[in-house]
Amino acid sequence: MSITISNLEVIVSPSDNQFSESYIQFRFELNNNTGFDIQPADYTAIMVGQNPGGTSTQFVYEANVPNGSSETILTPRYQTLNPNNSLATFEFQVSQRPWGSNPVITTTVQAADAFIYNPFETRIELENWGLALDPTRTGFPINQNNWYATAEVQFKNYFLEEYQLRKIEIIYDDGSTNEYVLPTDEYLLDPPVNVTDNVSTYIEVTEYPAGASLPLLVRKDKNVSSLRYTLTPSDRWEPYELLASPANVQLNYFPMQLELTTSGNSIFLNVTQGLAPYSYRWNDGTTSQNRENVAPGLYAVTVTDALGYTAQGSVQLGDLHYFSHNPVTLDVNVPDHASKDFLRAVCEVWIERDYGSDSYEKIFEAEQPLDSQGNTLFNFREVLDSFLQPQLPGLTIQRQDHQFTRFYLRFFERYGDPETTGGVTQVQENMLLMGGISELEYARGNFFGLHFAQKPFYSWQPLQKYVAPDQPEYLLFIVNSFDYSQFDVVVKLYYIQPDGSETSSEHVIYSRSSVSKYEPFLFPVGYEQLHLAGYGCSELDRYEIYVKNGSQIVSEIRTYILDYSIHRYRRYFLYQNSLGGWDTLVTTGKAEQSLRIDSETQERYLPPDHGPLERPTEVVSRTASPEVDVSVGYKGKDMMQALQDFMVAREVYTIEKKNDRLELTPVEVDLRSATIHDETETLQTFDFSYRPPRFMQYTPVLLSPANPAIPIEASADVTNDEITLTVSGGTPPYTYAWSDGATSQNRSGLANGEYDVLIRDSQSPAQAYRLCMLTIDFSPVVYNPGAISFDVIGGRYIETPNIYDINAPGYHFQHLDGDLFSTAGIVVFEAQMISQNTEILAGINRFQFSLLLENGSIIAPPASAPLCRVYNFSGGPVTTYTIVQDIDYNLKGTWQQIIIDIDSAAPQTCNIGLNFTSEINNPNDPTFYISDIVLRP
Amino acid sequence: MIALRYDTQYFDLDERSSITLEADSPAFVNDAIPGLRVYSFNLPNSRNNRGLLSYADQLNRRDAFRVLDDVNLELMGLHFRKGKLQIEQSDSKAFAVSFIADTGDVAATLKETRLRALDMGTASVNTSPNIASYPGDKHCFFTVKNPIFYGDTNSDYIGYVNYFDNNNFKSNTTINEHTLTPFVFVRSVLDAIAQLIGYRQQGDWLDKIDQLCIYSNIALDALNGSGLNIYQSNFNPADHLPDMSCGAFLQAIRSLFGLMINFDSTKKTMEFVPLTELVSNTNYLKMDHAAVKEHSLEPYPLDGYELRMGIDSSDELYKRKTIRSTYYELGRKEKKISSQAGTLYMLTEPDPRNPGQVWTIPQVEQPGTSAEFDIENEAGLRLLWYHANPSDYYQGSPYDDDYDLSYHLGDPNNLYTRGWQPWLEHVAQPSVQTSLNWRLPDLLSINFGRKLLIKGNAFLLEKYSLPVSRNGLGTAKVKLRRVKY
Repeated sequence: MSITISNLEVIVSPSDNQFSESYIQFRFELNNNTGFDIQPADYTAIMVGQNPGGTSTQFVYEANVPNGSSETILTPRYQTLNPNNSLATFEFQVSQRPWGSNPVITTTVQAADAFIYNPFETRIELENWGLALDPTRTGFPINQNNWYATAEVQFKNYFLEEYQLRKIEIIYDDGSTNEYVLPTDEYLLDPPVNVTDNVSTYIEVTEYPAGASLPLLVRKDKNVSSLRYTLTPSDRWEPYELLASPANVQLNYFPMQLELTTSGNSIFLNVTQGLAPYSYRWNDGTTSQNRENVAPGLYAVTVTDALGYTAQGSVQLGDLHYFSHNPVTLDVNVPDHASKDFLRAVCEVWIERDYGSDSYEKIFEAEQPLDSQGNTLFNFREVLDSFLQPQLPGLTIQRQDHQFTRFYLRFFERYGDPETTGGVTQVQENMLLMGGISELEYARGNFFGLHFAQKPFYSWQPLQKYVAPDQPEYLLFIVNSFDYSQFDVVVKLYYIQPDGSETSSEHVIYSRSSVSKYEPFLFPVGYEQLHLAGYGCSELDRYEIYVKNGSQIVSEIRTYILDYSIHRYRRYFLYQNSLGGWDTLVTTGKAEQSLRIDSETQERYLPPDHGPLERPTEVVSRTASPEVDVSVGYKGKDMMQALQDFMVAREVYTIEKKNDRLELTPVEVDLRSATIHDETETLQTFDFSYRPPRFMQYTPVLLSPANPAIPIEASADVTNDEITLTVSGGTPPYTYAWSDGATSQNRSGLANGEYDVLIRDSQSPAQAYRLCMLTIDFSPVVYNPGAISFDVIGGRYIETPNIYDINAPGYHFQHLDGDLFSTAGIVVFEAQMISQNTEILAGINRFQFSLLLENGSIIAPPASAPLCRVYNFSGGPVTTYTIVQDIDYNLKGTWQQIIIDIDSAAPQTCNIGLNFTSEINNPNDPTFYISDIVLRP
Repeated sequence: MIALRYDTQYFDLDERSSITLEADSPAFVNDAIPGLRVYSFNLPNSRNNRGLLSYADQLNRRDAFRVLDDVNLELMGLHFRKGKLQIEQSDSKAFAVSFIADTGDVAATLKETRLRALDMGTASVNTSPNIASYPGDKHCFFTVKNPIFYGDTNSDYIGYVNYFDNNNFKSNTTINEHTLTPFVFVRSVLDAIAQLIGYRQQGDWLDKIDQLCIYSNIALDALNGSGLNIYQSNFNPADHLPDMSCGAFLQAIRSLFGLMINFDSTKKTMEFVPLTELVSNTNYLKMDHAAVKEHSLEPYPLDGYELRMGIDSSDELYKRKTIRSTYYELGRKEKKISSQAGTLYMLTEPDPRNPGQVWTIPQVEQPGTSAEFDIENEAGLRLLWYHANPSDYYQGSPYDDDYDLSYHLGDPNNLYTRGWQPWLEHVAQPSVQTSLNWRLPDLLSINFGRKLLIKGNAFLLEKYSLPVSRNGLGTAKVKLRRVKY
């Protein structure tokens, strides 16, 4: 009474290329002498792999093994994948044991070192397997008490172990060869191998050759024509052949070279030399090669190659852009600096002249010695600053391409004699924006530490600013996140209603898509520039400007409060602020123009009749330049602070409005004569003077619309549920942006309410102010449906025709006098619908003709006849009776009847009503209506 | 804008500190190795500066150092020059210091170190024929006729130094008829100089002079107990070099071959660039953006050159003969370019010991130096080409292996036509004094070997002078030499 397993065999199938996996299987013969037939599902063979992931394979053998017979069983394949020194366990057990007791068997099969190499990754080695060097085991008994057998298979990742140089073959000129098969134990590559042959050819293998550089040879010996060496841990390695031959062969290990490149919020790591495959370990534990979409910070990586050599590198992933007037630094460290002779740190500066082209040009290379700690700091401010130029605002939103550039700094080491380069290469991509913050602020780090988190517009102007309607204003917005690639610039308008209440509406004025972090966008936000003086905006009190991505506000909010006060002297100056944005200085004080004499040539000219009171000299030539002294006028304290930027501005323009155009003239501001009144004085103001250009020069002009004489005009025609716009002026075609999101010109099916529409012409949004804002208070005039009359057919006239809006679903009652029902008899009410339109649109429109009796009860008529009888008018409950008739095109003009049979003689008061509902409302065709209701006696 | 850094620490500088950076192109200075640049600073006597200068202002600091090595001058955040800081004076308010840049940090060493003081190790003597080759060997031997080497002190002497016969440099067997004098390779000397100052050598030109060696009249004599000259078996090659400073040696090489020697104190390189390479270099640096309108022209003085090699005054042969080949004259010889280096004359005659054999060997008539025979005579620097010809008599000459180049100035294919003529013709153009508005990258990119292209004209920079203050770079005053493209 026993089960035995015999001929247990492990089948190891190594993969033959890197794309297939190696696997193992177990095959054994099950001998059933239990006295009963083993049924399917009686027994289970389990293979448990501890690695990877502790997966196991379990199978149930689907066959009968009759008592006294044997069956060969082959387990499924077990994928070995890339286990490293892991175990797989084979278990066999019979699950149904009619004879009872629990098996307590874990027999470990003794080992035979049967191993097969996977040339690429894995050597599979059987351990604990049998007694002899025989991979096949037979006669493996499992008796009644031992129902459970275990075989363990050890996987070893051979690649992580040492390499061995197995054979060196030298081929001489005469064709003879000499082969050195190296004892595997003694000639590991580390420590070095020295082999000396009998013709004093000296072969030295100092270190393992690296990757593609293999083989390397140094010097030719006349006696040896070639040398071949075989590297092996297995025969599957191809022998490498040296083409010429050395007296000294030096197989050098080329240390890994790391190149760490940052781009946006990603880090890319490139490893060369060493021996692939490499493994990576970052300081945060990640083991991937590249780091994409990661948070800013210092990233350090240790790379280990297949031979176990390591290399370290680190790179700083910044979350800030650089300002061109502040230091642009790269701080580098070379840890092993002491071991490198003539070491210098080299840093190349590459910039992208055309933004977005991805084509970078190397503009500079700096080479610096390192200090005793192996550190050096590069500062490329002076190198990069000159590549940026001020860019004037445009008429609409524009990316300030001249005011920023992408660049990267590429650092590497240069050392040795002869000179080599290498070490860790860092490539740090970054963005440089025109502008800068003061040295003190820079040193404190406040701007990026605190201010940048507020998503500022790049201007020091106060958050709430009083602006005149014609005052040009601009904002510079920096895309401040990697998280969005689209934004809308939004204006939110605040109106003061006549009753003093405040309403507001939000409108998108500019949209940009495909934007990237740190791109600067400049856009006009002045009242007239945005044409906020459009229809319905006359009550505008103030407006806010902010930037949205979807529903999320991604900028700070700037408020412009309209200042309608009138100043006699109002001048505008546009200047570039210290952060690269453009601000407006409004002066309200007086200005004086004077002529300053620059030089004068005089000639002494004393004619004979020269009078003693006359001037003794005559001016031959005189050059002078005009100078304008301007008094800024009263400024609040916050504006005075903001105007510090004006004091240091390099780019200042006067703005004059001429024929709807904004003309900019560059001027030279002479701040030496600026008088800044003391803060303690009540009046906070300052004076300055400027010099207009001495000669004619190109004047930048911000053009108004191409046809400025025709502004966009629009009017709305409101009927029923419909708004019809009439638009003229501007340059068609127009586009429409309704406050509820619609974009069509005309609207219908509207509920009552207020609708805003922003109308742009074909120049918009290129010319942002070519738009027209219309606010429509939608309480439509009811369409006159014609006469509705109540008549008694063949009888008397009941009621003056009344007007009903059939598009407003609901009951429309007509009160009838009670004496109608003073006598018993049949009363017929009749009504019809008549369309004034040429047609009623097909579809169901429910016309309900109902009767409401305030006192009385109704006997429901039979379904076949729309007739109801009314009984018991005395004191009954309020009851309605409705006949429902669907109206379609074909039923128009058809009389519908309610016939009432009144059997009470008592005079009663009742209401009779008509309920017109459009169950499926067809708002597009409000032209059918109820024509007449007549009461037939 | 200006910063002085010593290792990791910066000196405090006066807010008004300003310096004027000046440099002369080594290509246009023929009589010296330029580059010694001294910038004076007044360092405030601040706590930081005192510490960095090791309290050199204290009266009781007797051992305070005067010179601080490896000080870095930085301009606007980028490294500009490495040099020495020399404390000139100190009082309670300030330290007056000089920053010595460029070759300044090696100039003194080069000037003060004699060739014979160079550390060249030892060399062994092997009289059996063996091709000497640099860098394995530091010296070579070949036969030179010098009848008056020993004067009257050794009447057995046959009149030939390093007498070569039967594949051997002859040893003395019974009488002191022969003597042996090693000729040290020029490159071995340059190696020793580079090692002395801690610099690396650069330039393809170096590979062309592997076989160039220095004639010597200092014999390897060593008398044994019986008075027989058996030669020294080991010797210091430096002992057989002319008595001159390393600087003078470099200058002689420079002037003879028409070289520009660039010292870079940051890279620690000593670069040898033939001036003719500057002529053919078409790698321009565009500088239109920096040009200002005003300039003044200084016409080129078209009155010729006189190029002269060194003539060893103790060589009687030179006194007797007019050696046309040692100089070259052009026009009115306005400008002189002279080198201390000379060479030897050649002589074709029958070998006195083997009259059937006519040989061509260098000759000289100059007393030698031999401590053993108590004779001493300083010889000048003279260069010869070692032909590395083991079986031939023709082993040393002023010609290279292919007779393609003569180490004379006056011969056809001489040093003038090869080394100087293209350059002198190329720069025979007016000089322009003008100003350039350099930005920092321009200044850091200045390379005297690279032509500047300004408004369509090519120039070589002769000198510049650039004030730098706290406000940044001033306007550079430059002297440019118009050159052809």
